[in-house]
Amino acid sequence: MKYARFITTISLLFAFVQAQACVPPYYSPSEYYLFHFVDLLDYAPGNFNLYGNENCLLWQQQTSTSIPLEDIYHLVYKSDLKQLTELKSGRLLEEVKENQMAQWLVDHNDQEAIDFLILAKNCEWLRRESLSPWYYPSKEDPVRYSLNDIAEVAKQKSAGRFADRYALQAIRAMTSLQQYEDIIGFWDKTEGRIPEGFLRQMMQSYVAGAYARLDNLEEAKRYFISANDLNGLLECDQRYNGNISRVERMELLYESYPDCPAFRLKLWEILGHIEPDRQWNDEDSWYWNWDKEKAEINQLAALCDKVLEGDSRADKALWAYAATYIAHLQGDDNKAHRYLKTAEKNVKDPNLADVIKVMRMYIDAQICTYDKTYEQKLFTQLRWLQGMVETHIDDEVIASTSSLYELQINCSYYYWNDAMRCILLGTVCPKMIKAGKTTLALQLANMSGYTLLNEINQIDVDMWSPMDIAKYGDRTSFTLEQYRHSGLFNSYDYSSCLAEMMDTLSANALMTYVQIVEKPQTPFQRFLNAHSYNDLDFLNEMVGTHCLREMRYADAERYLSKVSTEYFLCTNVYKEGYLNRDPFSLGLRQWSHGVEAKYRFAKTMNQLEREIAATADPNRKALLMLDFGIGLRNSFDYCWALTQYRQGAGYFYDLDAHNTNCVQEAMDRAERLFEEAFASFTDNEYAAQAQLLFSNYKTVKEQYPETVAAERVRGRCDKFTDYHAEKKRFAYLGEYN
Amino acid sequence: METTINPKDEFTKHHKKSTSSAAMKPHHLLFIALLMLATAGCSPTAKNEPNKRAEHVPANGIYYWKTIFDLNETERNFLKEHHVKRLYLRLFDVVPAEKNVKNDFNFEAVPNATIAFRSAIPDDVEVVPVVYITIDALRLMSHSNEDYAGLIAERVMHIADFHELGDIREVQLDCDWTQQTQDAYFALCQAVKDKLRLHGIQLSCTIRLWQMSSDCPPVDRGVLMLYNTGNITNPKTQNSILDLNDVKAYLNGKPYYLPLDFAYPTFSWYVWFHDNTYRGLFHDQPDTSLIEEGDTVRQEQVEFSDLQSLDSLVRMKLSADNASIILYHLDSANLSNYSTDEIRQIYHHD
Repeated sequence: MKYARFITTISLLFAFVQAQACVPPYYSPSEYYLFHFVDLLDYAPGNFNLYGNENCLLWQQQTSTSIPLEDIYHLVYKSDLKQLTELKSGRLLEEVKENQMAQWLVDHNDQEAIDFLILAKNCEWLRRESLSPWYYPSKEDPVRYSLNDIAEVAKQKSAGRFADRYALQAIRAMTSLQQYEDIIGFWDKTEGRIPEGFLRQMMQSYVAGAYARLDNLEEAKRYFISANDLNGLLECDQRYNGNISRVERMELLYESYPDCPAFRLKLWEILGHIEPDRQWNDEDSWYWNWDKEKAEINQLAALCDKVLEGDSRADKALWAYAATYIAHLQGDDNKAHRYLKTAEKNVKDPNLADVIKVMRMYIDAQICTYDKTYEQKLFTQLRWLQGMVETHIDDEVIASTSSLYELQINCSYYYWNDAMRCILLGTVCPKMIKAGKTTLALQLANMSGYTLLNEINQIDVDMWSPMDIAKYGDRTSFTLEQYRHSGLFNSYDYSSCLAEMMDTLSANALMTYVQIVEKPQTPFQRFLNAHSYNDLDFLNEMVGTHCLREMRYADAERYLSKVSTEYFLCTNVYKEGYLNRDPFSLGLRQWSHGVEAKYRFAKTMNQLEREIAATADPNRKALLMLDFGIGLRNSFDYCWALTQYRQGAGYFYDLDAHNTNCVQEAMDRAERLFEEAFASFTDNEYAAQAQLLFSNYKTVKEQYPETVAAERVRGRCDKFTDYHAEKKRFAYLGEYN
Repeated sequence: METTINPKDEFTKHHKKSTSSAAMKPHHLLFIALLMLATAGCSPTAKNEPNKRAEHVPANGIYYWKTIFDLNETERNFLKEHHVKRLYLRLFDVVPAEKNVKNDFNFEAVPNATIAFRSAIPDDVEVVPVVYITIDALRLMSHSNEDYAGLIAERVMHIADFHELGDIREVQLDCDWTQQTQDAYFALCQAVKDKLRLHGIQLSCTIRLWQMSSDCPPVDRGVLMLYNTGNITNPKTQNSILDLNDVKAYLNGKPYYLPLDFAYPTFSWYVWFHDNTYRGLFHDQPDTSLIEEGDTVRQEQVEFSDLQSLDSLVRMKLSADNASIILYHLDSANLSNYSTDEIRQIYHHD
């Protein structure tokens, strides 16, 4: 019994997993991050530590290029003092046994490297602990040296493979000891032998800090600039200017160093912080007071204007780019357009030029009239953006995309593709639909959802067995084609932005779209098709289903007849068993047509509709009408999978009304059919049989007492009630109660 | 190691809208959670049992509340003469402090006024480290109770270890929690208690009189503070340190489901008012250079007879026979207001 309960529980869980695949996206496409600097992508999560990466690379050069960076990272940053100390005696503790850097150091008896790592780890520990307000010395502290010891030892190591690393440790130890004059003295003697690179920059930052603490502001600033350490520089300014705002600090910096390269990061920090919530940045916001952010944005806008009108050394393209986005945030896209022109005119840095091009696409999408001229412009812009999507794919993008999850929830993870989806799905598609250009909107939605996925052509699935928990998380990679035919629940094609949009449009709109997919007329259409998902089985099935939804059974039959049986087998509604329900039953009967259920249903309904029109005999006609009515009602109810893919909502909420109308119209028509059919019978036997079918026992007994049906009812029941199955949404009543 | 604090980290960690939980799909999380729930009942114990639970033996106690531990001869003699076996030693306060970052709203709870040691702990005296937590710090800690509990417990242990405070069997938290902060405080107590249990150490906390009408905090025992009963800022208050009528109002015979010891006041101070408005306290003699004409200074001190009455009341209402009496606080000047015999009468254990 326990086992049976376990199976039941796990089965329910499994079902839940499947149902989760239909959850709507967490974010709207308009929430993608758009304001960006491409050369700052290194700061994004994943590349969590720029210096760290450079440091690992340097370690690789100083040891062996065969050691993976990941192992270097783990040994240098994550190991503890004990593990490193054991290396000195040639022992590999369990935690680092598999670490290739640890192995290499032991194999090569690299005492020089190990000694340095131990000293640096001691220094790190002492600095971290002494910096924490919660620190209190303990007899159990692993470190037996003082920072003074470390500084002295490190200062002596003026030659050798790790001389510059020791110099950094000496400076760090002295910084913690607040020996600022000693730092400067040491730096003056050492500077000449420290090569350019991240270690030198880090040292310069500390030297700048030492100068700042000794109140030598000018020297401090000079070193902060050399170290490209804007935060230090601003901190320095704040020290002398009190608690001023971020923008005011930038303004001070601009006055001294109008061409400071670190402005990029600062602008990105301020605008990027506000950006994801930009669509909520309105007066009606119910959960957040934006006054502070708005004030900062206004302040930044004024600074942008000041810079654009001021010193010619400033990077005007950069500031105009920021001003463009700020104007957009403030709701003035025409002003944004003017700033953007300035940015385009002044841009020299190719990376900045690229993000300005993205911003151009975005602003054009906001301000342009959606006519042929804009379409042509969009075509040109999209060709370029698609190229950027294609050329910047890396392992991280492949990993994120192939898991589908980030793509499905509209999470920012790959700037070029994010930008495409933000612009197309967030702005262009809804506007195209409003302009009556549904075909183009569908093509654009298709490209937004599939161009990257097609390029990567990989879907990773965490396979797990409900019977074998240990196998949880085994990852299997499929190509798109393999995935669609794998028998697994297809969690993308019916939840994509394309499916979402198709779901909300009419069958006519879809038919026109399929024609263009089959026979594109223009280069733009051909381009869009080339980067989309164009499986005609998928499209025809979609059109056929929409026809069923709109009660266009002849069209439905025509489109569904084009869909291969193999494709029907791959649809989720079939795999989940929703098509095994008999739409012409008032009970819960199984239907044997399964895989071709939609087509059979369309064909039967089409036939019934034609026969109703052609039949003169009122009793036969009434029976046909009842059959048709039952099929119609069930196809939107218990057998919903014949006309729907899911219940729910998505991006295009305002268009979901179409779907709702279809349901209502079908229900109204079924009700009219039932009423008309009951009224049409001229033969009491037929009428009584029909009432019996709908479990109206009282009517059968009282209105048709002489019929065979009445006799059956009287023989089986002792309580006569009308159950009115014809009026109930869920046809769960049996033929006899 | 060459760890660099990337100035962008603070920002970039928000850059991706997916959080770490996004890496694991919600249904996976649910599955794991359900499995954990399903298997939770199968484990032999839900939590680590303490290595060895210390037993709380009733004993004479006294608080030490200064920032420098420096006992004079009189105080050492006091401890010896009155068989004071338990010293409740305030180690540090926890207060809010602005973090060393540029963000306006970055505050954290930090230790403050950590005790410095100039004297060794007398032999045969058990030290109960006490940590005072301000209400503002409590609010700050409420989002990271586990982390702060670890920091508090670890710091107490380090101080005890470093200064050889002896075998620590009990740690005490002191906080003037209110109904609004009760949940936060109880959660912190629970987290600290869990950390200390691993070392076989009990957690106690101070209980204000009014707090007796609330739920009991999740600690091993409490010390009922039978002082500061009145409103110190009210010029009409007779004696804010102790007013027996105030105490009676709270000791209404309702049971309190936490083993209690009792802290009696043996301190005095001067309360300064200007225009009938509270201006401050003088712990020693009032500073005449500050006092203006028309100001009033109220001397507050607890007479021995009041302490006797308090003791009788406590014994009658709270069955204090097996409890410890703790005096607040060890200060030779204040204690000189009482004779040796009076102190002996107050303490229950010879």
